[in-house]
Amino acid sequence: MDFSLSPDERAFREEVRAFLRERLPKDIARRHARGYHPPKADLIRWQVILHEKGWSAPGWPREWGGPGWSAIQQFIFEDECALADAPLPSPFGLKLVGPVIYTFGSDEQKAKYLPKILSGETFWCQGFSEPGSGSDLASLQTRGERDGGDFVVNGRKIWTTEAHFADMMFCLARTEKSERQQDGISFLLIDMNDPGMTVRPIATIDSGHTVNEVFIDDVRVPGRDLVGEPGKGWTYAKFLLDNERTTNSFVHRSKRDFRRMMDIARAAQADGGSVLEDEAFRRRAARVEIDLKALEWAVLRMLSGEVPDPSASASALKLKGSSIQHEILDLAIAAMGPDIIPFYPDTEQGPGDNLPFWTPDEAPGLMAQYLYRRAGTIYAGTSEVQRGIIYKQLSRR
Amino acid sequence: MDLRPNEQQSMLRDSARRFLGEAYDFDARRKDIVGNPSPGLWKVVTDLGWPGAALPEDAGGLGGSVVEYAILMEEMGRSLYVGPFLSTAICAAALRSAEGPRASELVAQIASNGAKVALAHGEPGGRGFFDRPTAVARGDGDGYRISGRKRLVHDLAAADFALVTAAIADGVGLFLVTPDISGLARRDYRAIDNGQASDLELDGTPAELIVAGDAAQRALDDGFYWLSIGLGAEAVGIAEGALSHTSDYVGVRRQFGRMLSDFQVIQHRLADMFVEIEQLKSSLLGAMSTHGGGPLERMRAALGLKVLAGQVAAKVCGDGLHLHGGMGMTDEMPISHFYRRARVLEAQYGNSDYFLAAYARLLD
Repeated sequence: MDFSLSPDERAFREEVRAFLRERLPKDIARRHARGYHPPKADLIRWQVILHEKGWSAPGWPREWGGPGWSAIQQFIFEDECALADAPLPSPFGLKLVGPVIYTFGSDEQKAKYLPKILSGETFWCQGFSEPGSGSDLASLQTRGERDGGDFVVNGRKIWTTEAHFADMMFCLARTEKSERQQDGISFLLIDMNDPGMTVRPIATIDSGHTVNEVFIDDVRVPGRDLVGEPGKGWTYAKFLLDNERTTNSFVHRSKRDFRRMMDIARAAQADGGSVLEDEAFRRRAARVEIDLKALEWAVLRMLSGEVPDPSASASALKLKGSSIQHEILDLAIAAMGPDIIPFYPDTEQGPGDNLPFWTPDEAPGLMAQYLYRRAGTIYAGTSEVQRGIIYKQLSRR
Repeated sequence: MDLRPNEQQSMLRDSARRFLGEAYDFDARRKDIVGNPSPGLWKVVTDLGWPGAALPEDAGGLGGSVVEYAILMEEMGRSLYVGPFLSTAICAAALRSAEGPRASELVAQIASNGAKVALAHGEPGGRGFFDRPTAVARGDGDGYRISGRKRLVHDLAAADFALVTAAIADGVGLFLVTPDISGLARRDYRAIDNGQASDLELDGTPAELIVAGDAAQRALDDGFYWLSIGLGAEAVGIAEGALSHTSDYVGVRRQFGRMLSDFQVIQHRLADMFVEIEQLKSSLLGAMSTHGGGPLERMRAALGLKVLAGQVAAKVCGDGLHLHGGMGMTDEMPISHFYRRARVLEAQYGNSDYFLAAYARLLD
């Protein structure tokens, strides 16, 4: 075993750090640090800067325009980005559909879609969940009827993050008759500008606009926008979800959030001292930090290929990662005390309501983030689904 | 960075698991723990070179690192090993830190002669490893004499010598004492996990100074680091063993016309046990990674690991005990032994609350 970063990896960390210091726009970092969901303009500006450097798709091989980084380099890059308050680039093109296209797509699809994902010209959204198909995704009902070489798609998608500003959707639709519900699903690429695509915003718990409902009415998808083979979409969807085994640990973000929580607790006053000096609070924070450090090594174990059962370990990462994320934010709002009660509008993004007379600097965005992150134990497989996956793997031993 | 064990480390793990699985299976262990631990097992452990696995070659050890030590402790945890391996390893770490010819000589005795050493540090009324000793050492000619009380000295009955901590003029000192020397009242007893411990009354007991002052404090901190790695690794083995026994049990026990493992509530509980073990394994890696690092970084990692080791072992074994139903309460089921060992591990050298408070003081 070798626990240390190599000289090259240490130099790489310095290079990333210097780049972020120089090129990450201060206003974007400030908005992101506050916890509001980044607006599209921020995402584009930042991705263009990354793309100029050749760093917009950390996970992609060189062949498709990525930097060809090792798993550890990607880890370092994401870690530094989080610490510098860089917004996480929209994952749907870069992390999710991109690898599916370069692994299973046609040459035409690769040439048409990959460069614009890298450059930030095209934003994507994920058309998986449906009103009746959440955890039980394979029960999805959206249909694609064959018409010549094309598919005519009808159905409803829900919880579609960023659909309101996406240019394309990758969509699972049932195109073939099958016995098993996992079979007969195809992986289609759909133009969001098609008149049959209707996006309806869903007002969420954080009073923001991030997710949507998408109605798909008689949308004609040309055969060239079918990825891989018809009826094999479930395989590609599983590849897509498996491809990112460590993303849902949220480890980099949680490290940043922990620092922010400590700053809040240091600044907040209670009983003549800071909240951080309170013994009970310190112990709670200490216990969470112990778990957070372990989580980081759990991610590094996964990246080192040291886990005998990657699928069970990935589920464990998501279970622990989402609960640690909740605990850190619980500590942050505990430190804020009654200051979490007012609704603080994002004044940089529009007129909004009136701010209260007294608005602590850390308050805006914190509660919005707190509320939005409740979804961490729900999306990408609920905690119960993850436990089911782990048990399935355990029972095979 | 590469967190995979190398070929020799994998071989060490395989051979340790095989050896303990055969020579120290549950029945053999039950015979072994009746009365005093058998000297036979220690002889084989010594022949295999385990006490010197992580000690330098020039002292007669195998030149391994903290990784080899952790591999052995983990396998011992899985087999619920009872004996002086951990106590000896903690003392070896303190002695290595102390340096000096006498300390080196003692390290060599551990590495190559199978010497067993107990650490007499805790005292009655104490809460944990960082309590300052109240036993006092006074100079007497060339040597010292110690007066005071020591509690919960693990593995003293089998030990060839003891390292005793006592207050001296410039802080704390680490002394060598022979257990059967005069001026020493000793009561040996068993712990609930079938380990052995002793209480000591020292009344002008002759002692040889090994190291004093700041160097002694550093030696104790090194001892604590190896203690935490050792118990952390052992906790991984204990928790994995408990999960494995529990999975097997719920896979054969039928109630309400179904296997227990067919109930989702049982499945999810097993999954949660797995998740906790993953956290503990990762914390162990993190703590091992600080081996060559600065003292503060190492102390934080060791404290965090000890907290997790105790809590995870107790939680996983507790869940395992519960899922065994009434059978888990019996002495004949391994899970009751796993649970008892986990409870002792959690309290050993200070419990999770004690070490969490210490970690919290370092938080910034």
